[in-house]
Amino acid sequence: MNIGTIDDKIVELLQNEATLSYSEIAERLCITETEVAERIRRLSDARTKILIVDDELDTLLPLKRALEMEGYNIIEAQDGLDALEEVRTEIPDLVLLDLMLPRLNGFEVCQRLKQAEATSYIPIIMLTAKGETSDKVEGIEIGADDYVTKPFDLAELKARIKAVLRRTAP
Amino acid sequence: MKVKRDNRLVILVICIILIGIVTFLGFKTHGEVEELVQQQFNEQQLLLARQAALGIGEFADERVTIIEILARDRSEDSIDNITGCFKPIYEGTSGFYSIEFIDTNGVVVYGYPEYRAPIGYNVYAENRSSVFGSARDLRETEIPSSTALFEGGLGSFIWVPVYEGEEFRGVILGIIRMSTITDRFLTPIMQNRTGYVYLIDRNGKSLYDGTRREAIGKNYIKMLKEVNTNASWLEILNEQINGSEGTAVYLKEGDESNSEQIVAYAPVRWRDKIWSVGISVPASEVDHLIRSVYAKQMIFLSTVIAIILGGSFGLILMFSRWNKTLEAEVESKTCDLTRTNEELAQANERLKELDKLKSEFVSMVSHELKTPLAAMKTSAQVLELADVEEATQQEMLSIITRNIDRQTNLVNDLLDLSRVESGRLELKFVSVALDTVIADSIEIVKPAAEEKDITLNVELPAGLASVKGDSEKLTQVVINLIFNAIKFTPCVFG
Repeated sequence: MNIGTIDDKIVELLQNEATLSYSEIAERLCITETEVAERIRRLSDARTKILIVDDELDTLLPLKRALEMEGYNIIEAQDGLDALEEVRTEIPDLVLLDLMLPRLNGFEVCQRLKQAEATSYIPIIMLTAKGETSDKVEGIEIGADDYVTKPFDLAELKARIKAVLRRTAP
Repeated sequence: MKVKRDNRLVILVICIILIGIVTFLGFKTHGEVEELVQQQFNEQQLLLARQAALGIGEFADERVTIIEILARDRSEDSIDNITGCFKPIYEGTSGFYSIEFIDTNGVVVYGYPEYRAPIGYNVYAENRSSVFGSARDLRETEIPSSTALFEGGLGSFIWVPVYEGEEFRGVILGIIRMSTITDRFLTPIMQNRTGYVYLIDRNGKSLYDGTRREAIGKNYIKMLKEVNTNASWLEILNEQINGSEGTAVYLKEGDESNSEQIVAYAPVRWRDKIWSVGISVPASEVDHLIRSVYAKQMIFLSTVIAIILGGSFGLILMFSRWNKTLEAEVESKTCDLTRTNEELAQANERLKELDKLKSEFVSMVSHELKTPLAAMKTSAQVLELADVEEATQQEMLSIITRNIDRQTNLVNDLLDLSRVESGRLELKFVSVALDTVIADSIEIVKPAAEEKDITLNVELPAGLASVKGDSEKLTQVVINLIFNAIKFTPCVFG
């Protein structure tokens, strides 16, 4: 059963009966009570959601901690296909996208997200160790909203994230 | 295009003019040459005629004189003594047909050679005494015009009277056969030549004719007057009868065609006689001469031209050979250049490829170097933030440490690579047990595997062989391989 549809069903059940307990919902949807609790916690999370895509855990982790401390809701993916899946289920407000990724590289991921109508509005900041101008140009051309080279300054990245979010906010 | 055509026209006109000039000069020269050759030829013919005429005259005169001397010196001798001289004269002088003695009665009493002498022949009886009579009466040598001999052919009869004082003793008759004279003086002239020689006396009677033997003894002038042709030759004959000399041209009327003849004539004078030698040759002889002159010139010219052409051809051949050699050389040089260019292009292509590989390598290396740096920098900056939880601090510090190690390894690898490239990498070849290498490697990568919850299972065949190699480097290779495997194994529990 699709994760997304489970979320939809939980929302539907709660809309109909606001008094339903976690155990009742778990029973109806044949899932564990912990999972229901987790899903509801996530659904009720109002923080800005950022997807970080990087195959290097050592790069991903400090960034995740820093942004969490900033008050963002962080989700992560370690390769291109994983990233596309996460975007579809979680619908993040921003994607920090590394270029060198296994299975599907950053350019491809960016291109697919910007081409699909459902995801084209999601802002993308390219994050890469490749610093050549041609790479930057290519990234911007296929629809990236910003381009930050590694190693980056944390404060600068935070500022850029804020700027991009402000720019694209509805 | 038009200019080219004009040029051709000009060259054509110049050629025509040159050919015209050459032809004109050729004709003019030909005329002069012809005139000159004609003149020379005529003179030569005349000289021949004169020489022959002189020869004949002297020959005949000599013989007459001999007999006259005999008649005068031996006039008082007996007849036998006189006739006794005939033999030595006949044999010593050559040319007499016979010498005879006719006595006062007109009877031939002796002759030498005896078989030719008609002994007993009486000039009165045969009614042939007129010359005998006039010689006796005039007391002078009588030479009548040539008459036929008994034996055939013409002969000249020389009647010399012998007087002892006033007493007539007889006549010595010397006979010279005409053929003796002509064989000696005229026949050789025409040997190996066209044309003919003739001899006439002052009446126009033929004494010798090189071509028409039947005409000998007949009178040309009478013959010509009878048939009324050949007026030009008749004129010449008249000139000859008058005793003049020169050259002239007449038209000979042949059976099939007329031909111009050149006649050179000279008089023969002996005693009271005037004969005339004529040498008649076709005018075409002159043309033959000219032609032979031209033929020689042609041979000379063609030899010269052949030498010039041969030389030119040789030069052309030589130059064309040089040219060919040069062309071949240029071609081979061009080939070399083309090959060199191709090689350079290929080398350039290889260099470009190498350059591309190098820049790809540099780009990759920079990415690999930057990635741990980025991790360290971000971690450090997280640590700098206020109110960081204790657990997070530990996490960040371990990330920093791990990435410092990673960076160190990377730098070491790069240094190794540069050593390999510059050939400074020193390998220590020793016997290496492979199971030791693998066991050492596993020991080193174990913490990394445990961190990602990856189990490492080692299965080695018993009695693994030893190899010759650098133990340290081999271990490094295995470590790298396993590290990569760990790195790219997906994290099951994320």
